[in-house]
Amino acid sequence: MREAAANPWARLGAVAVAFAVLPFLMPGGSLELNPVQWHRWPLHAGFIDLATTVLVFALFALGFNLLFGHTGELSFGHAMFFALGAYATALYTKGFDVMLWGLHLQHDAGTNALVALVLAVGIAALWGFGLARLIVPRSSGIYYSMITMAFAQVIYFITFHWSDLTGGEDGIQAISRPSLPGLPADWLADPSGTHFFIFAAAVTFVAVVAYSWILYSPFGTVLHAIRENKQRSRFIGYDVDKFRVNAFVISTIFPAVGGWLWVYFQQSINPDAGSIDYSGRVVMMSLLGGIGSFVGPMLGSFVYWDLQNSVSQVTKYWPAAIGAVFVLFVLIAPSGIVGAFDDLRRYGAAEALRRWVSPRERLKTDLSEELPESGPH
Amino acid sequence: MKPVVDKSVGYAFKTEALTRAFSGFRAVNEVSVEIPRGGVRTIIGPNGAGKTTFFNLLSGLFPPTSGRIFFGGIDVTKLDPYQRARLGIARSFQITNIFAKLSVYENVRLAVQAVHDGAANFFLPARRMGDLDTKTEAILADIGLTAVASGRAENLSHGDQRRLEIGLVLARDPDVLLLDEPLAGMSPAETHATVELIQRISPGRTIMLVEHDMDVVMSISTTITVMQTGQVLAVGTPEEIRGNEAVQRAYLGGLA
Amino acid sequence: MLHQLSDQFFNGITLGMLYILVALGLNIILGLMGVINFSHGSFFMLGAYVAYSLAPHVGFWPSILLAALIIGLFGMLFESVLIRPLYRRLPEYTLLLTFGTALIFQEFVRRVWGDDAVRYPALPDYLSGSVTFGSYQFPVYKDVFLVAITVVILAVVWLLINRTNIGVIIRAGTRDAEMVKILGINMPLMFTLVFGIGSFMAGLAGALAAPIYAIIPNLASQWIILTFVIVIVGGIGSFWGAVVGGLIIGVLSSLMELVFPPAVDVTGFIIMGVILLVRPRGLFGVEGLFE
Repeated sequence: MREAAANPWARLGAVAVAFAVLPFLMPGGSLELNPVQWHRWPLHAGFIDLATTVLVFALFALGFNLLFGHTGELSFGHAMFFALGAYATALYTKGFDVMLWGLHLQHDAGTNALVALVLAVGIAALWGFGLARLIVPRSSGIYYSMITMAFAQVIYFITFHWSDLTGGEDGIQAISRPSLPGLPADWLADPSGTHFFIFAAAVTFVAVVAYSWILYSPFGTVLHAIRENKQRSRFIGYDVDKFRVNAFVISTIFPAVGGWLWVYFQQSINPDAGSIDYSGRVVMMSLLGGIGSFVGPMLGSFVYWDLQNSVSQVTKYWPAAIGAVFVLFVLIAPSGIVGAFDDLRRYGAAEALRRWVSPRERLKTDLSEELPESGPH
Repeated sequence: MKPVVDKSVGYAFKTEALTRAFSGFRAVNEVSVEIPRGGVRTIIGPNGAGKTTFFNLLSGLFPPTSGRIFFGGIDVTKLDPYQRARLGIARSFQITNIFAKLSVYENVRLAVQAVHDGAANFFLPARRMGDLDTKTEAILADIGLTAVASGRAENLSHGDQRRLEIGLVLARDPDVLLLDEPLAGMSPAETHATVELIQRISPGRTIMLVEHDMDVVMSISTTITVMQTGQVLAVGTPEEIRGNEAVQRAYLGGLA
Repeated sequence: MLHQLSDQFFNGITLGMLYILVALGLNIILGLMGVINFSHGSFFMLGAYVAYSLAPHVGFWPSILLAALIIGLFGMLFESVLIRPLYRRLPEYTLLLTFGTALIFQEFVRRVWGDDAVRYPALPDYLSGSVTFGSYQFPVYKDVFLVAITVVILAVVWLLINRTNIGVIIRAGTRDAEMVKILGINMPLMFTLVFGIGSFMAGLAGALAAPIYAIIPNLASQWIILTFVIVIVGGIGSFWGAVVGGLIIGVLSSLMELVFPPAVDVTGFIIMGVILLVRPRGLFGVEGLFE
């Protein structure tokens, strides 16, 4: 998707303002979760907490979107990085003491949030690097997606089955919030959730700035080229696989930071964080918002959580409603909300509507028929 | 250790028993040729002769089933397309292969950026950006697309798109250009403009061409290689090929 | 010890049979049309639930066959309404859409049959119990019936693909959709038909699994990923890939129960990782088969 040629600074400013007013944009009313805890994580009541959740998943979606929206690679298992970041943080903070095939692994509880962050990002990026090196030269397209999904399941099963370390199905509880330098030790533990929101907003904003920087750099330009026409990119001299690997590794950092925030926010973690469900959510968010656009993933997170929150008060089968909305978007508005607005702006209402309803052309360049683009290499 | 191209060798490409089979069918069958440097070297042949497959092998789209390819003294058989591009081999495609949704300007700029090792950087120094822009504009002028530079590539006329593709190919200042049916689907005016472009850029390079337009082939080729069923039937100047009986038999419809 | 080994081995065969059916169904669709139906697992699950619901009314055989047929027909409807519009787009969009529909199916199942596991009524007498060979017991349904049925289905499918005109089109269609269109064959109809066949197999597998496994709404997501693994191991679009892949993963996962139980779920993925390293196209995959 073409970006409107807007000033990146203006864009970042707009994002900052959006973050600032976010809590006020959350739907009101009773926010009790329905009794069937299908996904079993506790969500605290309150607009603010929903806003914080939106931010965490916005982070998650940014990373995913770098890969799918901007490089054209659909990683359907990106929750594994969210989970890795989360569990790294949780284990660092609570400590652990386990045996692994004769090796004794032990660590006392840690309190330094920054160390936790480095660990979270480091572990996620390391796994991402190894995975990318394995997968990228050997696959692309939906074959690639299948493989990423499969490897995400490996992480999921490890968090589920290695109970000694990860607490198994129940996960890890009672994780205390860190203290921030220069602030009172329990500042983040503020019961109204406001302080944590501010913290999350600051972290997310920094991440957004970094994201913007990457996107508008020459590196980002090449990613777009790869998305548009991988083969052509190869033939003008780009080492496409190297870029794909690098993009993958970078894309793991954002969910890892999200996981780090999430653990301190929820003060607990369980295997759901790495489940297909979570991977799917971030995919849906990104598409709803608009893949390939700058604000799309963040907007998508906002829309998704509002939707889930509202619909879940009406029916316990809310995932079906969200699934249906998503299906509709895939069919009619694959460029998401941002894309729809783009179309409206460019074509006017009548023409945009006509385009949405009529058969859509391929969203990427048709490649030469000689080389199969997807599948094993 | 980067392989260094030996520019003094007399051939653009040399192949040894180059073969490419698809499930038993040999599209290119034990071809051993030396394509001399410089000039316009056209490959012709009936459909299914293996011309495009041969190009694909030379440019690295897929590896050969057996045999070797040499370029500038280097064995490039196992190199990826991007590695061959960096050595100076450039290729255009039969079906226009450009960045359709990007602007014409961005298309060329991408190709120019690829030449800089810093292409993967998160930031290029500002003056480098200027360099890229200057070079981009120069190429746009070369291919005559300056006027439409800001439009989307997919909105160009067919002929202009083919020329954009040549522009992409030029960005690396390659030694050898492999142009796969560059004139396909062009009007006479577009054909004329493109032929003129090809002739303009050919000094100092080797242009290898796959083409069906016999008038053009006869008029601009330095040598013509005729392929049939995966093998080289004949090589010679346009006159020699015109008079070659075997070629006439193979190529129904005549050459004259 | 040997009894344990034998039991687990044959458990693996049973599982393998079901895996084969589901994976082959997916492979047929993937091989011809180049799209992944993430809801394939949902069809498996629906096959189980429908068989469960039908059984008290129509008995064993009709419940299985009807369930599979219903799912197959539903698959055809599903394809023509939801998948067909996406063919002109990148296959990623089909994966996305069918992920969304999988969510819908899961909630639908919860709504109709509830969250708790349901159990298929008792099998007919001639299928219950076991046969004895020396000191070894082999449950009739799991070790004899399932294997027999699967072999029959495989034979039918193999004949279909390799000996019929439709099969020729299916095989040609992968490599040369243009050519086939020129021959005047109605490709959209072919696609719908093939999708129906693939879905039928998923539904059939689900129905066959119903009597021996707990039927829960989670079934879909459990099975779809595993199916992906089998397809990757066996090779995209490959008949024998699905067969060998399904068997290997079924048997090795079951045997893992005896070696290191926590790793049972991960066995298939380890095999997949090895295959990717050593032979990324899969055991029987064709290089660059995709479109």
